[in-house]
Amino acid sequence: MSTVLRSARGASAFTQDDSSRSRGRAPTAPLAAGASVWSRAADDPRQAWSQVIDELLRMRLLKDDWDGEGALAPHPSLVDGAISLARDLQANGTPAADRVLASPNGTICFEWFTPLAYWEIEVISPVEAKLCRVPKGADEAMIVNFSGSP
Amino acid sequence: MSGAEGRGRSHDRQLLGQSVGSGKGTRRRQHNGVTMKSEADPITDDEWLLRRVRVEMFRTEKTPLISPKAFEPRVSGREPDTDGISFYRAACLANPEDVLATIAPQRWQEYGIVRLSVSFLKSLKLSLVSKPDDRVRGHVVIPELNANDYGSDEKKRVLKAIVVKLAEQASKDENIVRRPGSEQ
Repeated sequence: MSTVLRSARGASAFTQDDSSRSRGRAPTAPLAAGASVWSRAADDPRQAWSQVIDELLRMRLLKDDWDGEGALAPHPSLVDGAISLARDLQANGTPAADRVLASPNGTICFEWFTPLAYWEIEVISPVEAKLCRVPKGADEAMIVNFSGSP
Repeated sequence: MSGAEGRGRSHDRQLLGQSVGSGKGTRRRQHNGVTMKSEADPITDDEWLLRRVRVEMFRTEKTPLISPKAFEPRVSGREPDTDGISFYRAACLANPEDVLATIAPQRWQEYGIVRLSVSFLKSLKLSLVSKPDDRVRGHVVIPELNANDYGSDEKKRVLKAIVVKLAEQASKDENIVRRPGSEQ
Protein backbone atom coordinates (compact mmCIF):
# COMPACT_ATOMS: atom_id res chain seq x y z
CA MET A 1 0.00 0.00 0.00
CA SER A 2 1.21 3.44 -0.61
CA THR A 3 0.20 6.90 0.45
CA VAL A 4 -0.52 9.42 -2.23
CA LEU A 5 2.14 12.01 -1.72
CA ARG A 6 0.36 14.83 -3.33
CA SER A 7 -2.56 15.50 -5.53
CA ALA A 8 -1.40 15.04 -9.05
CA ARG A 9 -2.56 17.67 -11.42
CA GLY A 10 -0.07 16.52 -13.98
CA ALA A 11 0.22 13.25 -15.80
CA SER A 12 1.97 11.27 -13.12
CA ALA A 13 0.92 10.56 -9.58
CA PHE A 14 4.07 9.81 -7.67
CA THR A 15 3.38 8.07 -4.41
CA GLN A 16 5.48 7.33 -1.41
CA ASP A 17 6.29 3.86 -0.12
CA ASP A 18 4.75 3.15 3.26
CA SER A 19 8.05 1.82 4.52
CA SER A 20 9.50 5.28 4.69
CA ARG A 21 6.52 7.61 4.82
CA SER A 22 6.34 10.71 6.93
CA ARG A 23 2.77 10.18 8.14
CA GLY A 24 0.87 11.65 5.27
CA ARG A 25 2.91 14.81 5.08
CA ALA A 26 4.86 15.26 1.91
CA PRO A 27 8.56 15.02 2.80
CA THR A 28 9.20 17.82 0.38
CA ALA A 29 6.91 20.13 2.35
CA PRO A 30 9.80 22.07 3.95
CA LEU A 31 11.06 22.75 0.47
CA ALA A 32 7.78 24.34 -0.48
CA ALA A 33 7.80 26.35 2.71
CA GLY A 34 11.15 28.00 2.15
CA ALA A 35 13.22 29.34 -0.63
CA SER A 36 16.49 27.78 -1.60
CA VAL A 37 19.78 29.25 -0.53
CA TRP A 38 20.39 30.97 -3.81
CA SER A 39 16.81 31.99 -3.91
CA ARG A 40 15.39 33.13 -7.13
CA ALA A 41 12.81 35.01 -5.13
CA ALA A 42 12.75 37.66 -7.77
CA ASP A 43 12.30 35.07 -10.46
CA ASP A 44 8.95 34.06 -11.78
CA PRO A 45 8.47 30.50 -10.47
CA ARG A 46 6.79 29.56 -13.73
CA GLN A 47 9.79 30.75 -15.64
CA ALA A 48 12.16 28.94 -13.31
CA TRP A 49 10.28 25.66 -13.72
CA SER A 50 10.04 26.28 -17.44
CA GLN A 51 13.83 26.44 -17.57
CA VAL A 52 14.02 23.15 -15.70
CA ILE A 53 11.63 21.51 -18.15
CA ASP A 54 13.56 22.92 -21.11
CA GLU A 55 16.66 21.32 -19.65
CA LEU A 56 14.81 18.02 -19.32
CA LEU A 57 13.71 18.21 -22.92
CA ARG A 58 17.34 18.66 -23.94
CA MET A 59 18.15 15.45 -22.07
CA ARG A 60 15.91 13.59 -24.50
CA LEU A 61 18.60 14.20 -27.11
CA LEU A 62 21.40 12.58 -25.15
CA LYS A 63 22.91 9.39 -26.50
CA ASP A 64 24.86 6.77 -24.63
CA ASP A 65 28.42 7.92 -23.95
CA TRP A 66 27.24 11.53 -23.92
CA ASP A 67 30.11 12.43 -21.61
CA GLY A 68 32.80 10.51 -23.47
CA GLU A 69 33.32 8.36 -20.38
CA GLY A 70 30.68 5.75 -21.08
CA ALA A 71 27.69 7.38 -19.39
CA LEU A 72 24.24 5.98 -20.09
CA ALA A 73 21.68 8.30 -21.62
CA PRO A 74 18.35 8.55 -19.82
CA HIS A 75 15.65 6.65 -21.68
CA PRO A 76 13.09 9.00 -23.29
CA SER A 77 10.34 7.46 -21.16
CA LEU A 78 12.36 8.24 -18.05
CA VAL A 79 12.72 11.83 -19.24
CA ASP A 80 8.94 11.95 -19.70
CA GLY A 81 8.50 10.68 -16.15
CA ALA A 82 10.84 13.39 -14.90
CA ILE A 83 8.89 16.05 -16.79
CA SER A 84 5.63 14.81 -15.28
CA LEU A 85 7.17 14.90 -11.84
CA ALA A 86 8.46 18.42 -12.43
CA ARG A 87 4.96 19.54 -13.38
CA ASP A 88 3.53 17.92 -10.27
CA LEU A 89 6.08 19.66 -8.08
CA GLN A 90 5.38 22.97 -9.74
CA ALA A 91 1.64 22.50 -9.35
CA ASN A 92 2.15 21.85 -5.65
CA GLY A 93 4.11 25.01 -5.10
CA THR A 94 7.55 23.48 -4.75
CA PRO A 95 10.29 25.96 -5.68
CA ALA A 96 12.00 25.19 -8.96
CA ALA A 97 14.99 22.90 -8.61
CA ASP A 98 18.31 24.69 -8.31
CA ARG A 99 19.77 22.22 -10.76
CA VAL A 100 18.56 19.33 -12.88
CA LEU A 101 21.04 16.99 -14.46
CA ALA A 102 21.44 13.67 -16.16
CA SER A 103 23.60 11.31 -14.15
CA PRO A 104 26.14 8.97 -15.76
CA ASN A 105 23.90 6.12 -14.65
CA GLY A 106 21.03 7.02 -16.95
CA THR A 107 18.95 8.65 -14.22
CA ILE A 108 17.81 12.25 -13.82
CA CYS A 109 18.32 14.28 -10.66
CA PHE A 110 16.63 17.39 -9.34
CA GLU A 111 18.62 19.23 -6.68
CA TRP A 112 17.74 21.89 -4.12
CA PHE A 113 20.17 23.57 -1.75
CA THR A 114 18.39 25.10 1.24
CA PRO A 115 19.89 26.66 4.37
CA LEU A 116 19.04 23.53 6.32
CA ALA A 117 19.60 20.69 3.92
CA TYR A 118 20.49 19.33 0.54
CA TRP A 119 17.52 17.80 -1.24
CA GLU A 120 17.56 15.57 -4.25
CA ILE A 121 14.99 13.66 -6.23
CA GLU A 122 16.49 11.05 -8.52
CA VAL A 123 14.18 9.67 -11.18
CA ILE A 124 15.32 6.09 -11.69
CA SER A 125 12.59 4.83 -14.03
CA PRO A 126 9.54 6.34 -15.73
CA VAL A 127 7.52 5.62 -12.59
CA GLU A 128 10.09 5.43 -9.79
CA ALA A 129 12.06 8.06 -7.93
CA LYS A 130 14.10 8.44 -4.77
CA LEU A 131 13.90 11.48 -2.53
CA CYS A 132 17.03 12.16 -0.54
CA ARG A 133 17.49 14.78 2.16
CA VAL A 134 20.80 15.46 3.85
CA PRO A 135 20.54 17.98 6.72
CA LYS A 136 23.52 20.31 7.12
CA GLY A 137 26.37 18.47 8.77
CA ALA A 138 24.42 15.22 9.07
CA ASP A 139 26.18 11.89 8.95
CA GLU A 140 23.23 10.13 7.41
CA ALA A 141 20.71 10.92 4.70
CA MET A 142 17.00 10.27 4.65
CA ILE A 143 16.03 8.33 1.53
CA VAL A 144 12.43 7.79 0.49
CA ASN A 145 11.35 5.68 -2.47
CA PHE A 146 8.48 6.79 -4.64
CA SER A 147 6.46 5.05 -7.27
CA GLY A 148 3.94 6.50 -9.64
CA SER A 149 1.55 5.70 -12.42
CA PRO A 150 2.72 6.26 -15.96
CA MET B 1 36.12 34.54 -21.47
CA SER B 2 34.73 36.05 -18.28
CA GLY B 3 36.85 37.81 -15.72
CA ALA B 4 36.19 34.99 -13.31
CA GLU B 5 37.49 32.46 -15.80
CA GLY B 6 40.59 34.52 -16.40
CA ARG B 7 41.23 34.77 -12.70
CA GLY B 8 40.57 31.05 -12.46
CA ARG B 9 43.21 30.23 -15.02
CA SER B 10 45.76 32.30 -13.19
CA HIS B 11 44.61 30.76 -9.96
CA ASP B 12 45.21 27.29 -11.43
CA ARG B 13 48.86 28.02 -11.72
CA GLN B 14 49.16 29.49 -8.28
CA LEU B 15 47.42 26.54 -6.71
CA LEU B 16 49.37 23.72 -8.13
CA GLY B 17 52.17 25.15 -10.10
CA GLN B 18 53.25 25.09 -13.66
CA SER B 19 55.00 22.19 -15.17
CA VAL B 20 58.63 22.38 -16.04
CA GLY B 21 60.29 20.85 -19.02
CA SER B 22 58.75 19.96 -22.34
CA GLY B 23 55.57 18.38 -21.09
CA LYS B 24 56.63 15.09 -22.59
CA GLY B 25 58.22 12.19 -20.90
CA THR B 26 58.76 11.99 -17.20
CA ARG B 27 58.54 15.39 -15.56
CA ARG B 28 60.10 15.36 -12.18
CA ARG B 29 59.51 18.83 -10.85
CA GLN B 30 56.62 21.14 -10.20
CA HIS B 31 56.81 24.90 -9.72
CA ASN B 32 59.25 26.25 -7.17
CA GLY B 33 61.42 23.25 -7.80
CA VAL B 34 59.22 20.94 -5.78
CA THR B 35 60.08 17.38 -6.69
CA MET B 36 57.18 15.29 -7.90
CA LYS B 37 56.40 12.23 -5.88
CA SER B 38 56.56 8.74 -7.23
CA GLU B 39 53.33 6.78 -7.27
CA ALA B 40 55.07 4.31 -5.03
CA ASP B 41 55.59 6.94 -2.34
CA PRO B 42 53.20 6.74 0.59
CA ILE B 43 50.19 9.07 0.40
CA THR B 44 50.67 11.69 3.08
CA ASP B 45 48.10 13.83 4.88
CA ASP B 46 49.50 17.05 3.45
CA GLU B 47 48.81 16.02 -0.15
CA TRP B 48 46.08 17.34 -2.43
CA LEU B 49 43.91 15.08 -4.55
CA LEU B 50 42.38 16.21 -7.83
CA ARG B 51 39.11 15.20 -9.39
CA ARG B 52 37.52 16.08 -12.71
CA VAL B 53 34.01 17.53 -12.53
CA ARG B 54 31.78 17.82 -15.56
CA VAL B 55 30.34 21.17 -16.49
CA GLU B 56 26.74 20.32 -15.68
CA MET B 57 27.77 19.36 -12.14
CA PHE B 58 30.05 22.33 -11.60
CA ARG B 59 29.09 25.31 -9.51
CA THR B 60 27.55 28.22 -11.33
CA GLU B 61 26.73 31.81 -10.53
CA LYS B 62 23.17 30.72 -9.85
CA THR B 63 24.04 27.57 -7.92
CA PRO B 64 27.42 28.07 -6.28
CA LEU B 65 27.76 24.48 -5.11
CA ILE B 66 29.13 21.58 -7.05
CA SER B 67 26.63 18.76 -7.32
CA PRO B 68 27.21 15.93 -4.86
CA LYS B 69 26.63 13.73 -7.90
CA ALA B 70 30.16 14.64 -8.95
CA PHE B 71 31.44 12.44 -6.14
CA GLU B 72 29.13 9.48 -6.55
CA PRO B 73 30.39 6.26 -8.06
CA ARG B 74 29.18 5.25 -11.48
CA VAL B 75 27.04 2.19 -10.94
CA SER B 76 26.43 1.44 -14.61
CA GLY B 77 27.65 2.41 -18.04
CA ARG B 78 30.92 1.46 -19.66
CA GLU B 79 33.16 1.81 -16.62
CA PRO B 80 31.35 1.40 -13.29
CA ASP B 81 33.39 2.49 -10.28
CA THR B 82 33.58 -0.98 -8.80
CA ASP B 83 36.82 -0.19 -6.97
CA GLY B 84 35.75 3.27 -5.88
CA ILE B 85 35.74 6.77 -7.32
CA SER B 86 38.94 8.15 -8.80
CA PHE B 87 41.20 10.96 -7.69
CA TYR B 88 44.72 11.92 -8.75
CA ARG B 89 47.56 12.87 -6.45
CA ALA B 90 48.62 16.41 -7.31
CA ALA B 91 52.07 15.63 -5.94
CA CYS B 92 52.58 13.04 -8.69
CA LEU B 93 51.65 15.43 -11.50
CA ALA B 94 53.59 18.20 -13.15
CA ASN B 95 50.39 20.08 -13.99
CA PRO B 96 46.91 19.64 -12.52
CA GLU B 97 45.42 19.61 -16.01
CA ASP B 98 47.24 16.36 -16.65
CA VAL B 99 44.15 14.70 -15.15
CA LEU B 100 42.35 15.51 -18.39
CA ALA B 101 44.60 13.13 -20.29
CA THR B 102 41.99 10.37 -20.27
CA ILE B 103 39.47 12.69 -21.91
CA ALA B 104 39.32 13.46 -25.63
CA PRO B 105 40.87 16.93 -26.14
CA GLN B 106 37.75 18.28 -27.81
CA ARG B 107 35.92 17.61 -24.53
CA TRP B 108 38.39 19.28 -22.17
CA GLN B 109 36.27 22.41 -22.02
CA GLU B 110 33.47 20.33 -20.53
CA TYR B 111 35.51 19.63 -17.40
CA GLY B 112 36.58 21.52 -14.34
CA ILE B 113 39.04 20.28 -11.75
CA VAL B 114 38.71 20.49 -7.97
CA ARG B 115 41.03 19.53 -5.17
CA LEU B 116 40.50 18.00 -1.75
CA SER B 117 43.10 17.35 0.90
CA VAL B 118 44.02 13.89 2.05
CA SER B 119 43.49 14.99 5.63
CA PHE B 120 39.94 16.11 4.83
CA LEU B 121 39.12 12.76 3.24
CA LYS B 122 40.56 10.96 6.21
CA SER B 123 38.46 13.09 8.56
CA LEU B 124 35.44 11.56 6.81
CA LYS B 125 36.89 8.10 7.46
CA LEU B 126 37.62 7.55 3.80
CA SER B 127 40.67 5.63 2.69
CA LEU B 128 42.83 5.92 -0.40
CA VAL B 129 44.25 3.10 -2.46
CA SER B 130 46.81 3.63 -5.18
CA LYS B 131 45.67 2.19 -8.50
CA PRO B 132 48.21 3.12 -11.16
CA ASP B 133 46.85 4.09 -14.54
CA ASP B 134 49.19 4.23 -17.53
CA ARG B 135 47.50 7.36 -18.82
CA VAL B 136 47.80 9.62 -15.77
CA ARG B 137 50.17 9.41 -12.85
CA GLY B 138 48.98 9.35 -9.29
CA HIS B 139 45.66 7.60 -9.78
CA VAL B 140 44.00 6.56 -6.52
CA VAL B 141 40.54 5.32 -5.61
CA ILE B 142 38.35 5.71 -2.54
CA PRO B 143 37.15 2.15 -1.98
CA GLU B 144 34.31 3.17 0.36
CA LEU B 145 32.62 5.05 -2.50
CA ASN B 146 32.15 2.05 -4.76
CA ALA B 147 29.38 1.11 -7.17
CA ASN B 148 28.24 -1.95 -5.28
CA ASP B 149 27.70 -0.25 -1.95
CA TYR B 150 26.01 2.71 -3.61
CA GLY B 151 23.36 0.38 -4.94
CA SER B 152 22.23 -0.41 -1.42
CA ASP B 153 19.86 2.13 0.17
CA GLU B 154 21.13 1.18 3.61
CA LYS B 155 24.75 2.00 2.80
CA LYS B 156 23.76 4.86 0.55
CA ARG B 157 22.30 6.77 3.53
CA VAL B 158 25.77 7.18 4.98
CA LEU B 159 27.59 7.54 1.66
CA LYS B 160 25.19 10.22 0.47
CA ALA B 161 25.98 12.37 3.51
CA ILE B 162 29.66 11.94 2.70
CA VAL B 163 29.39 12.99 -0.94
CA VAL B 164 27.46 16.10 0.11
CA LYS B 165 30.37 17.03 2.39
CA LEU B 166 32.85 16.39 -0.40
CA ALA B 167 30.85 18.63 -2.73
CA GLU B 168 30.65 21.43 -0.15
CA GLN B 169 34.37 21.32 0.47
CA ALA B 170 35.25 21.13 -3.22
CA SER B 171 33.00 24.11 -3.96
CA LYS B 172 35.12 26.49 -1.91
CA ASP B 173 36.98 29.05 -4.00
CA GLU B 174 40.37 27.82 -2.87
CA ASN B 175 39.57 24.30 -4.04
CA ILE B 176 38.53 25.20 -7.55
CA VAL B 177 41.58 24.41 -9.62
CA ARG B 178 40.07 24.76 -13.07
CA ARG B 179 36.68 25.88 -14.24
CA PRO B 180 34.92 24.27 -17.19
CA GLY B 181 35.49 26.27 -20.31
CA SER B 182 39.03 27.19 -19.35
CA GLU B 183 41.66 26.80 -22.01
CA GLN B 184 44.51 24.47 -21.25
